[in-house]
Amino acid sequence: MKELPPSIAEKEFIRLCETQGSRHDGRNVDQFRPLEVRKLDENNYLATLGETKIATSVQAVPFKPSSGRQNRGELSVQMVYMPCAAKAALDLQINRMKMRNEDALQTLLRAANVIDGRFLLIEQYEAALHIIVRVQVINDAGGILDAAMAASVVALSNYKVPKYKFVEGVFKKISTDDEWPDQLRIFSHAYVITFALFGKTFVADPDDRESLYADGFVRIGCTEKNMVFAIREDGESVQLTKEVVMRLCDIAQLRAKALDSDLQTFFKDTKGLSSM
Amino acid sequence: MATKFVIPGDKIVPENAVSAGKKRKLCGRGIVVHEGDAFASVSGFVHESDDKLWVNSFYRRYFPQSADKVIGIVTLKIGDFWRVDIGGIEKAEIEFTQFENATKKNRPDVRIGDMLYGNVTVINKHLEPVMSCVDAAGNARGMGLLPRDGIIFAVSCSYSRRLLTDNCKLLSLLGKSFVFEVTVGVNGRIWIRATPDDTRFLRDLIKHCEKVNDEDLEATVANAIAAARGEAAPHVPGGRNVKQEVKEEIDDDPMEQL
Repeated sequence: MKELPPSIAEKEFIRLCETQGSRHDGRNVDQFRPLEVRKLDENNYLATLGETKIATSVQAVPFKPSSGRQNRGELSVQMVYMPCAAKAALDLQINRMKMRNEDALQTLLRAANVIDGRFLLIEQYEAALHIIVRVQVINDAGGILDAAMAASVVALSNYKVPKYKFVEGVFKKISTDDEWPDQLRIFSHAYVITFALFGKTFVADPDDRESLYADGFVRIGCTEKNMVFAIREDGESVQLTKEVVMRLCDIAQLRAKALDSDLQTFFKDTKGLSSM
Repeated sequence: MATKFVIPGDKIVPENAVSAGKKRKLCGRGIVVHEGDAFASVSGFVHESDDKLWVNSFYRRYFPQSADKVIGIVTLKIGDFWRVDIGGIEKAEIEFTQFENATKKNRPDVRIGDMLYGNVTVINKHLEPVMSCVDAAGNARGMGLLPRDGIIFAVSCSYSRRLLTDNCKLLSLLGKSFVFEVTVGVNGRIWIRATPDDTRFLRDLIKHCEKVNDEDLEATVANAIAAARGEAAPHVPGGRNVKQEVKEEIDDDPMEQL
C-alpha cells in the first residue's frame, strides 16, 4: 500500500492498535516479521522481511590507499532504489532516506567490524581492496536497514575475493577460478533491530504504515555474540531511560541470536577468527 | 457478461446491435477507436451492453474518468482549493463550495489527511481532474467527508468495481456477521469502520477474497469467520447439483464394466 498517502483515520487506527497491545497487522508489540535470505545466483542474495525485498551483492575493486590509512582496505555501501520500490511522489523523502540509509548501513558495517580492513591489503602503502556492498531496494515496506544488514553480512561471508598483484603501478588480476578461491575473513555477524515509538510504547520491526506515523525510532546494532555495538535514536519524542534501553537490548539480542541461527546455512563455510 | 479475452492490438467487433436512437456505442477505457474500428489497448475481457463497450482488465493504477465515485485523501491546501490524492497520476482539486451547504461563511472543516468520498469530473485529459462532493442539485447523497476513524486500504481497481456489482455478494455476506460501515471507491480504495479487531479481520478477508470466485465466496467467508471464532467450519451447500454428479460418477465406474 505504498501508494496510499498518510491519513488521519489510519493514524488514529494504528495508534489505537498500538496502545491496545496488538498491532494493525495482527502482530504483538514485540513480534518480528520473518526475515529470509535466499541465494539467487553466485554473489547475489535476496533478503525478504515481510513485504520488503532487498537484493545484495559484493564487489572488490583494487585501489591505492590515501595517506593516513595506507595499511588497510575500505568498505563502503551503495544503495539504489528501484522505481517500483516506493511512490514517485515521495521521491524527496526517498532521496533523503536513501542517503541516510546508505550512510547508516556503511557506518554500522564498519562499527561492527564485520571485516577487518587490514586483511584487504595487497601491498603496504601501494595497493588495497575496496569492498563495495551494492544494495538494491526492490520493495520498501519498512525495515530497510534490518534486511539490508543481514543480507550484507551473508553476501560478505560468501564472497570469493579475487586475487590481485600490484606490478609496476598496475593492478593485475591473478585468478578467480576454483583453483585459487579466497573468502573474506568475517569477524562478526552484525544485525540491526529497529523499534518504533508510539506514545510510550515501543514496537519491534515497524512496517511502512507504522513508520509513517511513529513518534520516533530506536535502532540497536547487535552481534550474534550478544555484543551491542550501536544504539541510535531518531525523533525528539524518544527519551531513553536505563530500563528502556536494557529491555530493548534484551529483545535485540534475542532477535540477533534467532537470525544468526536461521542463517547458519550461509555461514558454515565462512572464514573467521573462530576457525583459526 | 464477459465474451472474449483480448490483448492489445486485437480488433473488437461488437456482437450486439446499437440500441435504437443511438448511432454509436460508447467506448470505455481500454479501447482505442481508429478509422471507425475499435481496438483493444489493454489485455482483458470485453464487456458489452446496448450502448457501451469496454475492456475489463486488472490494474492498480487509477485512470480518472468523469462520474467515477472515488475516495481521496487531502494532501495540500492552496487558498480555496484542496489537492486530493485519488490514486491517479495527477492529484484532483476540490473547491470549498463543492460540499453540501458550503458557503463563504460556512466553510467545511477539511484538514490535510482527511478522506473525501466524491465524484470526479475530467474536463480535459491534460488538466488535473476536479472532484465534487455534491451532485448537480447540490445534494451530498452520501458523498462528503468520511469520519476520521476506521481504516482505509488499497486494492486493485477492477476488484473495487467488482465489489460494487450486484453479482458480488461479499459485502452482504459480511454484513450478516459483522456490524460495520464500508465505502468503496472505484479508484481501488476501501474504507471500513468497525471495532478494531473486526476492522483488521474484515480488511484481511476482503483482500483475500480478491482471488476467490463469486461461486466460492460464501464458503470462503463462512470458513474464515468460523476459523476466527474457533468454531468448526460450517457446511455450505455448493452451487452445483452434487447428487447428480455423484450418480454420474457411479454410473461411469469402469470396475462395473469389467
